[in-house]
Amino acid sequence: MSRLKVAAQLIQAQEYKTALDMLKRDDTSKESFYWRSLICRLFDWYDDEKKIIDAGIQKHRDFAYLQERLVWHKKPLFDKMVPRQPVIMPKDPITIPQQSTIDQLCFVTGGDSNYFTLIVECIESIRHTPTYKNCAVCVLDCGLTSEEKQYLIERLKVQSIKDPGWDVDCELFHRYSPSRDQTFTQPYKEFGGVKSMTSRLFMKKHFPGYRYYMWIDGDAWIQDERAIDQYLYWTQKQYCSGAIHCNGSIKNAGFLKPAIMDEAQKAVFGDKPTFASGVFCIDGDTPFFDEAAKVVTEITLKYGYGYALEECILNYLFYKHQFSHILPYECNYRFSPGLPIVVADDPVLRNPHNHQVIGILHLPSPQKEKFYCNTHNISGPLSHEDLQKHSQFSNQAMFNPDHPYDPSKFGISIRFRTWPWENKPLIKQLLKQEIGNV
Amino acid sequence: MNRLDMAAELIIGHEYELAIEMLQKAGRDPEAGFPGVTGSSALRVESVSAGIQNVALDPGSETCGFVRETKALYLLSLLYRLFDRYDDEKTVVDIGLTSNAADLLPYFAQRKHWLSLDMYNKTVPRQPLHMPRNPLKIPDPEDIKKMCFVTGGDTNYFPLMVEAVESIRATAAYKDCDVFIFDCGLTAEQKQYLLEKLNVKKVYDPGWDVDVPVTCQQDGKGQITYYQTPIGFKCMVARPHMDKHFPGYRYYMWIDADAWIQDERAIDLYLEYANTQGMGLSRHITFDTYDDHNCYFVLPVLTTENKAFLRGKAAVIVSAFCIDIESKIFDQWRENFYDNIAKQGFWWNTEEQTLGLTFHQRRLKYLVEHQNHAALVREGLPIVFGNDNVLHSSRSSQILGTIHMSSGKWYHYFPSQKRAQPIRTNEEYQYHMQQHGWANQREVCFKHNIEPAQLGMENRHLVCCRFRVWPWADKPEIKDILEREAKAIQGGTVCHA
Repeated sequence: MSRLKVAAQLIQAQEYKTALDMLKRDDTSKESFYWRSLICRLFDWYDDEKKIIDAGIQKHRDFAYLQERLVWHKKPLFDKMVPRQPVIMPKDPITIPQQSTIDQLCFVTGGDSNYFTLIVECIESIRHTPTYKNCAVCVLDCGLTSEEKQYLIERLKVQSIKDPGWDVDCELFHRYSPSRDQTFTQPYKEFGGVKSMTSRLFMKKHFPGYRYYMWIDGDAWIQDERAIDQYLYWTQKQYCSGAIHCNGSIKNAGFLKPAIMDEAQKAVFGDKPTFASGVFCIDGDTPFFDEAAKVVTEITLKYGYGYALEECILNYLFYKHQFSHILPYECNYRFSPGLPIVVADDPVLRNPHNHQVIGILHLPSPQKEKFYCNTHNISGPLSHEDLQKHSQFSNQAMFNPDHPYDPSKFGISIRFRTWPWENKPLIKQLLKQEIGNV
Repeated sequence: MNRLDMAAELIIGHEYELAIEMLQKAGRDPEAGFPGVTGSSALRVESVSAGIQNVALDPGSETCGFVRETKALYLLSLLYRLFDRYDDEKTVVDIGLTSNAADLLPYFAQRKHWLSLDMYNKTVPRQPLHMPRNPLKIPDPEDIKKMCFVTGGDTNYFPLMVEAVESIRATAAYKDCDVFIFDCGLTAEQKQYLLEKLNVKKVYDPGWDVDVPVTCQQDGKGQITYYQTPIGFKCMVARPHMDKHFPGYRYYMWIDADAWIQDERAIDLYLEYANTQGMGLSRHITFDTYDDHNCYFVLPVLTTENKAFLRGKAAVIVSAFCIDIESKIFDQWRENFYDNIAKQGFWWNTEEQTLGLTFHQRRLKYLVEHQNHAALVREGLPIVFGNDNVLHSSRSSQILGTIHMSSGKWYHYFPSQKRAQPIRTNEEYQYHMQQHGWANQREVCFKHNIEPAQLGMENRHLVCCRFRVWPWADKPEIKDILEREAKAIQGGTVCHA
């Protein structure tokens, strides 16, 4: 019996890996290359597939399939990936938003060219939610190219892209470095990234006409839309909502070491739980935006702009109005408890500590490409000891550039895009057809 | 400002709980309130209304006050609906019906009717759960086209059967599959409901595929006695003959009428196993192996040779399974079934044990039980993390695929147990079983003479263990109406309505 026939029988029995081993011994036939490529695609073994394609094209130059695959392999990683499968879970009935609320909601994000692919994924994740897919999305252009802007408008139906300019007229920008225990100061308008920090307090001014403004950082994305339900539900009750800061409180945060606001203002939030400004929602019909604009103008005149000042101001106003409800960590997951876990065969990213499905993932490191790396796949709840090990594993995987985990090799990334998944049944069908021919 | 105005303001600020307390407080005001409506702690209301003296429901004319009082009842009814507090709503509706407010009487009458329905008819199919799949396990649409679901039962099982079929119709991948039902004692109306409302392909009386006029049982002394085979047992006899009764399919997915699908990825697995090895079947949650501790295996259901063959092997459960007709497993199962009935007589679970026998004769692999299929008796109540309305296995913390209510079906309106964290250790699991085991909950009901339904349904975040739950899709609409009414009250148009 020829190797192809044996491989066909193995494929019939869905013994794909053994079939691949068998086919490796046949390095000449067109079918062998084709089948091996399909099997590698089934398991997302694209490095191996590339080698097969390279070898195959040497021997079968006219084989259109191999040429197509070669073109695919030449694409950058981002273009090879696709939006992940949706997560649709039952909601707490009382938080199901009214249609009138959804109609008045606008998502705002922003960034520069470095953040472009992340912004795309962020908006794709909004467009893939069942409830919020048709909401307006506005982008603050803090240094995007015209092609990038065109892509956002045409492909992702972004409502409006606007360069916010300088919402605050101040001279200096302060940033504290914890490693050097030193504050660095530079001219405010030399640091383009600060635009997106300041302008999130002026969302209503830049994009008028909505009631609920949901800011979401360009490097964050929505896995489970119930987090957005929570933001809206609580914004309707208390003007503004945000998810707990990774340290619980910003009292001891490095960015508060330099003088960036009055001590009396700091005392308003003191050591209370505070929320992070990476994702938050504000009711535009309340005085919140006006107050924020006034406060930031006053403070920056006095101190210049300190890193994360917008976060301090949001929390200051939040507690000034005597609000108290802060959303759970899963509504803006910043990786402090470690990489999200995936339990057994369930490709949903969860908080390793409480197993809750993460609503919004917020990529924390500047090495965003690393986050195509795998999650930590476990078979059941982690014991307390394993949680510690998990934390070490996560730190290495996320921050050590020499970590052996090759980001391009794993199927479940922590970014919104993942390896192609929709084509798997088709690949299986193609394999079935092929073995039928043999 | 009076209480109705304050309640309106709270409603506009989405402070619904406070609005309820405000309106309840009005009810306790002997001069201005409505009798019979009692509330819980009014402490938070006191803080809201601090500084406001001599609060009355209405300061205006008698007619105006009357209209506003009825409006308050209306708001309270809506607010109770928002929080699924239907027992409280009933009191409000009863009072509302004694009023003469013509415009609201139809509403109160409608609510009265709804509240008088039995619990099953008040509940609705739960919200969908569509989770990402392991891409390798995404089922082939061609296989799904060749698949049918089969279930069956008698009239007692009808509501459960409806829920089982509703849960199939709520899946994304299998919603259009053909569903067949063995009629083992359904009424004509029930059959019509299944055909018309749930688009069941066929409801069919299978007759007796094997003539078993009596069923064997063993008394306490080990003596075998016989009783007339109940008509509902037709289902058991018919299961090995599904392919004969409903020909034309390749994959036959049986699901007991008292089981339902929460996460369709479990069906993917049953189908995948059927595709690769001829049958997808779960291991029995209750027993690890066929041995003398297994109260069913010790009975002489199987011949001595068959028992010897099965002894020590993993026990399986047949409340959900999928068979590929091309595997000829049906033929083998029938052969084992006939053979054992001929030699041992017909027993309550002959078909279950003979399918287990067939399974092990073929040396097949079983699905991991609590990942895919849970029988609630031994599993303890499923757990729910926070407000995450999904039933998880208390043992593995994984989302339950199919949920089988096994016995005491009517108690499964119990809420699941909320936890902030997964159960990490065996000790924690044992504690969970002691405190929240299903059997323990049942004891509570027996001891205190509580309707189990009450025990479960009073929980606002109702995550009961049946497929149907309190209405949820109407909540946004209720909020819309509340907002509109509150604005009307604020605008002063209520008196003139």
